[in-house]
Amino acid sequence: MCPICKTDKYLSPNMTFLINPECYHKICESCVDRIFSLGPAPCPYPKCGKILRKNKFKQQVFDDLRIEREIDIRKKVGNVYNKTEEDFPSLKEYNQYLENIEEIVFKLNNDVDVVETLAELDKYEQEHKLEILEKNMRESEKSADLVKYQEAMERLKQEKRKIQEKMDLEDLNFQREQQQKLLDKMATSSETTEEILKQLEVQKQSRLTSRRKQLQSINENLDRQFNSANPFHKHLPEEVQTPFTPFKGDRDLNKKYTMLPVLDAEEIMDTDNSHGSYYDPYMNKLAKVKEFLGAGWRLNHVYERALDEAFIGLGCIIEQEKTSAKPTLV
Amino acid sequence: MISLLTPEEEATYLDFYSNNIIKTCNFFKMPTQVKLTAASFFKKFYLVNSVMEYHPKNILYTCVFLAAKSENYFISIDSFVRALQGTEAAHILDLEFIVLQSLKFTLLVHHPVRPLYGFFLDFQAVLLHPEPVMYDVSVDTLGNLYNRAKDWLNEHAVTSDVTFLFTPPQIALAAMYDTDKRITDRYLKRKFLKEDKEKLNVIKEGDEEQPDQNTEPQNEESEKQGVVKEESETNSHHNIKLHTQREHYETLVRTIRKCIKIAKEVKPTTREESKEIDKKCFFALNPKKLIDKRIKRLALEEK
Repeated sequence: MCPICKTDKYLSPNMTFLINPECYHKICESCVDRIFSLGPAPCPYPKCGKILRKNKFKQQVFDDLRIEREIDIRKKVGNVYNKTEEDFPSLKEYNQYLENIEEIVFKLNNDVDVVETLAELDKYEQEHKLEILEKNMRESEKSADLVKYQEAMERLKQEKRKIQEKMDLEDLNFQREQQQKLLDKMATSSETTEEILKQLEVQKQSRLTSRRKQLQSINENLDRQFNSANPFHKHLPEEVQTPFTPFKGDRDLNKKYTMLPVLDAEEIMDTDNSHGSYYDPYMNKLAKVKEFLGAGWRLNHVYERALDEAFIGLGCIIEQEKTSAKPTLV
Repeated sequence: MISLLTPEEEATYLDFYSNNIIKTCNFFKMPTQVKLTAASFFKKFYLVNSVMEYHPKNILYTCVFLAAKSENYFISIDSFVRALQGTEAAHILDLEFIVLQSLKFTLLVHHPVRPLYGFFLDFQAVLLHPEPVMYDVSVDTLGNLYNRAKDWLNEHAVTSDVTFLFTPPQIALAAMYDTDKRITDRYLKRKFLKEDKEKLNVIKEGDEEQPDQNTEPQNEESEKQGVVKEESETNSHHNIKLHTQREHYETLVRTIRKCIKIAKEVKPTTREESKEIDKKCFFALNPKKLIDKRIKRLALEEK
């Protein structure tokens, strides 16, 4: 319900509320139109009295007004303090910068030294006007690049689709021709029908594979062209990175064991030939179950896991650690 | 005065119930994994609680039920309770959270079973490849050894305290070591004393029974001499490496032997013994009954 005109949601279901970032009081749309269309006016809430302008009114995004307010403040501060990590020589300085921003946001949000903080913000803006502008320019350039990239991607997709369609059409024609040929041959040739059919089948298969290869190579070509042209591709890290671990260096890169070669499912014979590999008839039998393989189960993973676990913590002698550790009360 | 249980009594009492875990799990035909986890939960629970607070019977069933869930061998509470006499679903479900809390919500338990399998594989790699090292050891012997070591684990590692004192691979090696000392020792030497394995092998043939106390110093001496003859620069480095290797090996063997000793210390608790303790425990669990009894007696005396 709007507190000013007392309009109810029940009676007018499509009424909307607007707020003004000056005081965050909710006012319904029709009231805003009515009160503020003649120019700035004070907030109609009792004891508020802030001067509001119509063009500052907006729809509320977050249910919680405190969050709405904080986001607005962040936006405001972020427009001024708009540096990114690449602008700083070290991470520490960047963190300091972020800390500074948080400080300002906190002060504004919690009404601590608002006047001083705003003055500080203004001062910073005045001093760094050029930098801020420059940064904004750069950011917009970057997003323009992104747009270009997306466009190129779209074009590539279209190209591929076109080629696919063309090929499909050709295939269809070919099939028709083939059908015709078959009829002709059956009418004229002395060979039996089955033989002719077989011949045609072979021809068809070979054509199909060659076609598939052709398509693949065309696609690859296109991809390569695209990748060399696009600016984002080179940003991707090329070296293989080890997965993140929470403890520094807990990844054991030189393992305590050397694994024997593990055979593929096809190579495993029914007889227990284990030359050069591990011998475990039960596991080897499992390695041939299609359901397991289809689900991604692999014999070498089983072996690897067992071996890994066998050597994890082998050199950890609890007794020694207990004696050397400082006695702590639990 | 009410007589409370001594720590020793409590320990024997718990041993009796740990054996019951195995029986319960076998009754439900649960995998070894569940059995081990349940035993581990049970022991961990009584690290922080006392039998005089929670009677082990229902805690045991709760641990088994919880272990079955956490090891992905789910049975519904109804079918679980139906098979147990004198236990209701509420008994178990009420305790479930208390048990979880005592475990500090840590449900993952590392068991020595998979490391044992890993060692079975690595034994093959070390002792059989590229060619067999010992004339009388084949895949079948190793498979046999593996199976017996598994039995050893079931027999000794489930109920004893070794899981608190040693890491799973150490327990697995202890199982191997105790089932066949000769093969395991050869494996450990080949694995951890790579540098001087050739010389050790020569000495090994003579004394298989004797621990290596007397042979080792000799061997180290000869090794040292051999190294001295070679380049003097790499000498010290090589020596240090050798030394740490040997130290590593020796601590490992010592740990394994200790593990075996502790694992075998557990002696089975008899039913009578635990019944005796159970009686004592009864009043500690139900102080009200004790008070009632005393009041009754006092009332009788007054009459």
